[in-house]
Amino acid sequence: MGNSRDNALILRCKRGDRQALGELIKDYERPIYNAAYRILGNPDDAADVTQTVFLKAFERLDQYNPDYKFFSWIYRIAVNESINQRSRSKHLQTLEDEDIADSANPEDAVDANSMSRIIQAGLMELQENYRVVVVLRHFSDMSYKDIGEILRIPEKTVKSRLYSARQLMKTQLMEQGLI
Amino acid sequence: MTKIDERLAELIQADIDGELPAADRAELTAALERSAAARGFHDELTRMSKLLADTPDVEPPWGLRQRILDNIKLPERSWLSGWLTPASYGLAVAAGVLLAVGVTQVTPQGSEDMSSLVGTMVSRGHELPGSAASELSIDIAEVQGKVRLTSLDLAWAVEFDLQSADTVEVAIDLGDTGLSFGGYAGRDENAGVKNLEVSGEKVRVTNQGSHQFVLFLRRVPESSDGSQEIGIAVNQRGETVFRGLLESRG
Repeated sequence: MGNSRDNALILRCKRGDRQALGELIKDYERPIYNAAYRILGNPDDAADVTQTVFLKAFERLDQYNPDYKFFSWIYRIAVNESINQRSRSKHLQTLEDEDIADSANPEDAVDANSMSRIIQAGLMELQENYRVVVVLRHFSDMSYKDIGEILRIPEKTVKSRLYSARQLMKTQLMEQGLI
Repeated sequence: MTKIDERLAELIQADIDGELPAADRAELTAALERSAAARGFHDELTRMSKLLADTPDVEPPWGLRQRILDNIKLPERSWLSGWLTPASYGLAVAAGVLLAVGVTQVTPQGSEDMSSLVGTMVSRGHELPGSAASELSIDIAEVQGKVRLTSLDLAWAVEFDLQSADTVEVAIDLGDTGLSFGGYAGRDENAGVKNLEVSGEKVRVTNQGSHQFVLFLRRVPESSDGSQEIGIAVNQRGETVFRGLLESRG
């Protein structure tokens, strides 16, 4: 997902090239969906957000400045949409948390899916601004600089939020016997 | 775990995240050697980081990609239909009315710069008259699109419909085809060229982004048909990244 490739695909999209659109969506569908899922904790909401992200990105394609990274731009839309979606469907969080709490025991930890759910439960315990930095760092492999650009916060703030979020996550994961 | 100071915690976190500056490496190593608390903290963060990294991706639902594709509308794609914009360029050179060009270098600043190169107007939405003689498709990382040679009644048109993320130079070598540069027309102000250079039988067009323009070629009087091959090359940062030929027979 190099920026040069992204920009070439965007230019082709602007010319009406649907093959280029397909390639761009193929490149970003999975990472955007996963980031949204980790922020929201709900697969249906994550799918809705992913679709909205692409629709908004292509509606606003003229606003995209190719001097900046496309992935930062589309992730910023994804984070904002996820936060908006979360505020629209907060009731789902409770249901998800209950489901996860039932299965969160050390024996389940050997199963990757259960582990994923426990980690998701841990993420959902974090306040939103902490959760987002953890998701971008650990699930989207972003650097401090990238995270700062996406969230429009200084790198120092990124590090500080990551530190606090990790302290909270660490406690939860230790309680679950995962670390 | 004994509390560790803020500076050390920052170094440990940076190390876990692969963002520890080389200059701070020795400081961290020394701190880890002398402090069991620091080693414990480093170990905990490492395990947590690995745990998160090992968490499998979640599969997007089947059909999501198609749903997204189906809901995004892109501009209508067209092969140079609509590229000629009389209002902005005053346009264009058409068959038989090519104006002689004594230009050796043109750097367009706006529509007027090209007006001296053009003749009969072609209205927006028209395809060029004539039939395509040869076409090149380019699909490399640096540039994508098509170049097409069209035979007009008394001239030729080389139509460019290319996209490049970075600045590239498109070099057209007329060689001994007996053709010479006769004019230029761009699709719109955004699809013009940064620089157009004509030197003998070579034409060089430099641009970034959308390259949608036509070069009009005229038959040099008294010339005999030569190789009938027009060389097209794409250069980026002084290196040729694409080379192809258009056949001018027919």
